Amino acid sequence: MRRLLALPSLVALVALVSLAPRAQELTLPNTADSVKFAAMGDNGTGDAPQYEVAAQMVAWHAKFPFDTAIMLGDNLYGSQEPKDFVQKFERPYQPLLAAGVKFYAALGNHDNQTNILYKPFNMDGQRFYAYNKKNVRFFVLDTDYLDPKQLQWIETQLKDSGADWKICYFHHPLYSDGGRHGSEVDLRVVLEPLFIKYGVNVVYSGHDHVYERLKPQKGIYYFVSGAAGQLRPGDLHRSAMTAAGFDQDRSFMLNEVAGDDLFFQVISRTGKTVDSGSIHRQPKPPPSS
Amino acid sequence: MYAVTQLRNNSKLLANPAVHLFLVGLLAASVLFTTTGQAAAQRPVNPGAKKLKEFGDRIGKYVDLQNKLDGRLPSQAPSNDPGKAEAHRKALADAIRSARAGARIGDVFGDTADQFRLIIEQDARDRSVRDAFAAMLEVPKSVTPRVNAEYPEQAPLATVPPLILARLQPLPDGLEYRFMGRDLILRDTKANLIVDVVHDAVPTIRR
Repeated sequence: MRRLLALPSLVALVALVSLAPRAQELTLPNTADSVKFAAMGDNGTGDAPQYEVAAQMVAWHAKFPFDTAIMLGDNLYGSQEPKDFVQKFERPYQPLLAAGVKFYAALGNHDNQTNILYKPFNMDGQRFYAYNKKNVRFFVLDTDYLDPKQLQWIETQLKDSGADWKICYFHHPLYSDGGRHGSEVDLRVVLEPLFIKYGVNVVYSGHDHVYERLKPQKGIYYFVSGAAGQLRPGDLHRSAMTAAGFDQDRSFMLNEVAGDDLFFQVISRTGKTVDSGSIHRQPKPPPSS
Repeated sequence: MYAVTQLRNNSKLLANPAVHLFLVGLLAASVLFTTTGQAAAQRPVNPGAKKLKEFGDRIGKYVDLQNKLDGRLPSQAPSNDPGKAEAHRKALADAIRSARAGARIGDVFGDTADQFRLIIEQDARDRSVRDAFAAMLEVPKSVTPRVNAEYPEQAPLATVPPLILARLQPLPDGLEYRFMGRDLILRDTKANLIVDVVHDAVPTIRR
């Protein structure tokens, strides 16, 4: 009888022992020539949780040496004096900056537009811009103000790019089940046709302070990662388009593009893996006339 | 307080690019060619088009002033010191305020204010209530915009829906449209100044 009673405890213990290390394990292939990047949104609070997420990023960087971090907007909240850049960016990410990680920022609705001139954000004075990392081309948009000029720019950029992978990122999600904001229908109406036509593979956004992975929408993969500093607990209202989500704590993403596959692993503020998987690159669309 | 009135739940319809294109075309036609039949026959000067052209001229003059004053300041380049960009912005704002010390509401929008109201009202009609509220959720509401005042420093730059931007007169670099409360403002993006205001541009909306 005593043995029977002890059995559940033993099972629980075995489960804990087997799960705990797994939670800290890197699930990404971590190959030598891959493109490795972190993704984070809505991080710039300057508060303790942002620092705790940043500490996780530093810890995981030791296992997975990403050289790029994409910032999905709301990089600084509130006051944006020089001291705020220290408190809300330079100090929490100092070990990553010192290790040579380059941050590439998109503007969010809480960011001052003059921040495009802040060198560590690598925006080169532009609200919207693009850059390459090996076989990946990143397109960064300013969805606070998506005017016809910017639309023309992104269409030309996407059309002219022959990169294997086309990854777009910006602050406002085209698809989201976040309760506070949700999907930005206006943006979807104007951007989605271009993404489909020119073969965008993956899109990252923030704005809703949760993590969500969407089921592919018209063949394109969407992530919402807006909880690297802010959090709205319980704000993810899962729907038929939700593939996975996490809204109980803050989080950031690790990503790796290796050949025709993109691997991702989502890490919580406490270091737990809350989602992981891979995406196989979609076939390129036929050349447009 | 935002009001929501008369919005139909037709976001699916709006999401159709063909329908949207049609609506944009329809609206442009109504704004630019209010007397289409006569225009075709007699080619009179269309009052709507004339007003918009004059608005464009005033915008051009403003940007010329902005560029002239900006050119007197040390040129900007990306820097590790964010204080430099802020100092530049403040210096430009002071110079523009000084040059436009007597500026009043309507100096730039002029007599196009009703045309802007019409465009925004039409857009509101085309949206679902949820979309309309979402568009206005983070618009700063507590400050009344004043010409030559700074856009509130810590207020979010609430997104201007791209479908509205597609309908408004294009602006050159250095100027943009934003909403503050129910007002539409012209904002100087280099100096973070409010250049002009259309009061009550956003229609009253009811849930």
